[in-house]
Amino acid sequence: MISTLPPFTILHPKTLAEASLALHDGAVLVAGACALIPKLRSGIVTADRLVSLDRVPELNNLSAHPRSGLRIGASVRAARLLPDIWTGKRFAAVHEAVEQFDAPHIARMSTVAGNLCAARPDHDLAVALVAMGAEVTLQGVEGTRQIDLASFLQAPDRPALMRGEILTQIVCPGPGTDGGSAFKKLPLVRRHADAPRRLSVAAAIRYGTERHKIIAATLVLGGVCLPWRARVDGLVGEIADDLLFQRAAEAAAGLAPALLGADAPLRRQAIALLRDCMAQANARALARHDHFDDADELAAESS
Amino acid sequence: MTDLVLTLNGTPRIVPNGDNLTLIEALRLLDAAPPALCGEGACGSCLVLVGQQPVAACLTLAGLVGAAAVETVSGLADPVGQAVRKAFAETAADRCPLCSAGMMVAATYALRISAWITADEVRAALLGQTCRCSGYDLQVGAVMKAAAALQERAT
Repeated sequence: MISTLPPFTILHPKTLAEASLALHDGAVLVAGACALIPKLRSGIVTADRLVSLDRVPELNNLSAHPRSGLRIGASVRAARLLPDIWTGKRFAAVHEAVEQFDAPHIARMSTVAGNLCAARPDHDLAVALVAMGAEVTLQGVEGTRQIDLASFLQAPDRPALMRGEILTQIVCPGPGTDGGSAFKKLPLVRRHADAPRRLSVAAAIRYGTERHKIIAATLVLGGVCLPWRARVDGLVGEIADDLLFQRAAEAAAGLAPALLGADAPLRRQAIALLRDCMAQANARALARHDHFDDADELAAESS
Repeated sequence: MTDLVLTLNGTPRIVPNGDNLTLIEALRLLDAAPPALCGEGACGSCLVLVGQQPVAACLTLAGLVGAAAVETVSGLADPVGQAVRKAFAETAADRCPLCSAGMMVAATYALRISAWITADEVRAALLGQTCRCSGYDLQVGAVMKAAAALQERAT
């Protein structure tokens, strides 16, 4: 039998400022509630007031475009990204991370912002969003600030939120004219309850206008740790090939703190996953086709 | 704590002190609860439709459901829901009460989108449902049977 929740009241503020004040007073924010309810049941979180943002309409906005980037409001459920054409085409890593949620109903219920605020290593969405260079907008009693998602996820279960602060929006820059991304995950055999559930990796690769040499690359490892950005300077300025990706994957796996004490099979799996993810992001970067970019090129040639 | 009005299977029902409950607890008070096994949304046994969307009742706050219609497996009265329940009964896919309620709700959601569905799509639609006897083929077969019946009606 599932135990009942301790008593609480639900507040429905109509503005962010009201919500912020309530949180400052010790209330707890509820969005999709997927992470919160088990914590309330087990007593890890205690709250006599829950703040719901369902009556703050501007938080339910989602927009995606290769030029303006991806903007996800705090109340947007993860599954809303799935039918979005630009998310699928140009923010493929994020799209794949949502597609591979453990259960479809969890993707429909949980919000992207709630998924990030939980700051769990096994929440994959953060891995994909860090690879895409996402920033988060935080609004509190004292004002608004915008920080890098990787630094927002500073420690497990402890996102960089000050008292009363609300994550209002997630912003990813556009992938660039010739950019591609990919996300992959691999479930791990677990021998004890605290062992990591999975490896997850995401990569983003960007080409210059001549579509020949890589001008920027990001590689992120997660699942076994909070999203960790690998140094992949070696890829910049190079012509992509499988050997290059293999070497970059080996270098990244060698430096990742989470893989330091790891056994050989886990390390091998991580290297293979990192390499394949880079190769897929690379293929997508080379295969992208946005009609309006071609229109721009034609206009530039004729003028 | 205030009472709550839930539109359950088309009928407005009053849940005493409902805003302080999860949806599964509210449904239990109304004697309409599906089985809830894990309490973490992982097994899908307590799947219900809220505003036509499948959600895990154990992770939904009743106070946030609002005016959205709640449908449990016994309230699936439309042709799609009836076809699913009939096919599950005929193939004995509903013989175990633990997962079948959630399976039928997930199947109904998928078939309401389209009855022209492949076995792989059915498997994807049932991805969030855990069958403890690992007999997934039986349920996939039942959904395909319901899909065939619906296709026949439509043509």
